[in-house]
Amino acid sequence: MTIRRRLTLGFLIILSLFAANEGIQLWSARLRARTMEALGGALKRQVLMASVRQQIGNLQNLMSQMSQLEDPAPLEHGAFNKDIGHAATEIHELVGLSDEREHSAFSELEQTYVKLSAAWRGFFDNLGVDDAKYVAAQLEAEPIGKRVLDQILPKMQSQQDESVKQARQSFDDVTRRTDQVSIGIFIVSMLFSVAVAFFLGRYLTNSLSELQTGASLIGAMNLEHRINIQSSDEIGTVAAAFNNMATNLSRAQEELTHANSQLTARNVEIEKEKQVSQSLLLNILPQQVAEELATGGRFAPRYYEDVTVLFTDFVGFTLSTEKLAADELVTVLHDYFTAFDRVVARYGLEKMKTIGDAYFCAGGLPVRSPTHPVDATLAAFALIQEVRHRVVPGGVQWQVRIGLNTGPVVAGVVGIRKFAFDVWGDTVNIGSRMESGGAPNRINVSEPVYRRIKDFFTFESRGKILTKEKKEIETYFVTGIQPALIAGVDPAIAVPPLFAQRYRTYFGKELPAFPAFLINQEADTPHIV
Amino acid sequence: MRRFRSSILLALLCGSALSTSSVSAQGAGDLAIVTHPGTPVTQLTFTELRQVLKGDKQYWSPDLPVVLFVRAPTSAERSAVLDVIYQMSEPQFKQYWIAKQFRAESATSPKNMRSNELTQQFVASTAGAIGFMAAADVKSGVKVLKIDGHLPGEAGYKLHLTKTK
Repeated sequence: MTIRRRLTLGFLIILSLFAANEGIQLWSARLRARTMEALGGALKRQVLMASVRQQIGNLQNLMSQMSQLEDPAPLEHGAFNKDIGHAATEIHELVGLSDEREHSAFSELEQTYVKLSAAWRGFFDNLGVDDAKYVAAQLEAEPIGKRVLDQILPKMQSQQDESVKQARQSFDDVTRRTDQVSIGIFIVSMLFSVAVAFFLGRYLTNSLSELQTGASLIGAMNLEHRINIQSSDEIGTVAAAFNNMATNLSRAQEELTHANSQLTARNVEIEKEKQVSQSLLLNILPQQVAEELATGGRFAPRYYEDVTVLFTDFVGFTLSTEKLAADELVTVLHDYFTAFDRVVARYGLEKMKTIGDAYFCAGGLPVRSPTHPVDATLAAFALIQEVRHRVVPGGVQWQVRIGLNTGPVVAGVVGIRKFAFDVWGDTVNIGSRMESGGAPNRINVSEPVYRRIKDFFTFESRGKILTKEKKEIETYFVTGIQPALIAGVDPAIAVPPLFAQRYRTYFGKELPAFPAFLINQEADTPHIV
Repeated sequence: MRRFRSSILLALLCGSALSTSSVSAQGAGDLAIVTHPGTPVTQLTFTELRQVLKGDKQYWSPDLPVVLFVRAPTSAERSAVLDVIYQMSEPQFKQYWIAKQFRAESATSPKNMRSNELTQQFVASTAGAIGFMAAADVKSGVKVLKIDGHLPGEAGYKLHLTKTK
């Protein structure tokens, strides 16, 4: 049963009790009115009887007094007859007011009064006229009057008193019974109201508490919790809705978990793919450039005022192309350039590209650094060493020309497909010119490079060369490390301390790597072909 | 002589069974107390007579009320009774009965009789009646009571028409 129906039923029962109470009050009021009516009738009869008694007594006394007159004269009968008639009227009225129980007594009174009034009339008619008749009438009237006054009227009075008493008793009984029933109904109504309020309130409170607990637990994502209210009312409906909500949430959570798992797996795959892409991207672009491209979708061309470019070119490659198959040649180039890539990465340089057997890298970009001339020179020595340690299939020993130049460049990424990070400017052209104008297994550097690294390395001047623009540039072969920086250094030590110290002093950074073979220049001098 | 004749006459009229037969001729100046023959008394003491006549004793028996007949004012019998029994004047007598009635001490009042004949008639015909009349006027049909053991005309009888001192 729904709460609304329970409340309605409870209120209807209470209203019914109050209606019953009201009905009893009305019934009681009617009974009391009837009793009051009976009481009023009894009182009226009492008044009438008192009046009759008074009049009969007066007439009796009057008769007695008149009989004592010494010489009474005949009377004017009108007044006496009027009094006698008035008493008769009241007695008749009394008879009319009597009920069945009283009727016989009242009728007796009426009949007796007829005799009495006749005797009175005989007395008054004969007084002063015929002594014998009026005395006879008096003798007849006196016992009748005495019987009326002493027996009939007192008896009737007693009956009326009893009637009044019964009416009062009835009135009191009805009032008391009504009060008792009313109080009983009121108490029952109150108890019922209290019981309805208590049990319904307790049920609602417990149910709401259960709902609140369930809502809190479900709100805390305890989706396995179910509200244990088994009823068909509104609370039960709400509980069922809560439980359905929890079920749906649980299902949704499972689906979400599943989706998250799939998403995580997908993210892992994406991350892997992203890493692959990133790796591929980093293979063709510097990390910073790749990040900027990934972030902004483009890499704005920018000017680098201080960059060292390094160009290499194999000596003997053309001859090898005639002896080796294409795939063998590519394999050989891959082996060389893989070694070059490692060296370039070790010294913090940025590989730009390879063109045939030429390898182009740069230092000082995209992250600006003051160490790039020294780093590029050390890398050049390491590249020569890598080439010297390799033999091309067929027994051919390749050599490499290396040219370095330092100066400003403009860097940028061009194109939308197979784009590449590239640099432009005279610095690049002169660097290429340094390579082409160099010698096998020698490092040919320009004047700007020389000025930047002369405190670290030893040189052999080559004089001036002309650039494409017909400019004369002093060039130098780098022959080795300043002897003072490696003097007395144990060849087993990877990095000469003085060199590292000077590097640290000049640039405020740690030396990234050092070609150990340079310590023993006498035994293994790179520029010695 | 007159008293004697009356006695003879009464004796002849009423016979020996009637109380009046005991009234002697000497009682002709006496006041006889007479009652209805059915009254259950034959004699009264003077005190009892006074109680009856003053309305203090109102019943002979529970079913038989006393009905008092008195002679009308100005009669010798009434004067004698007022003097000897009531010991009241006429106004006092009237006032006495009015008061008695209004105090509801008596439902009836004395009935005034204008003559001894009328008294004789009503006493003889009214149950419980008592009256007084000249002993000489007493006829048959009523009962003459002894007062203190004496009938009118007997020695020691206290009620006389002529006041005696």
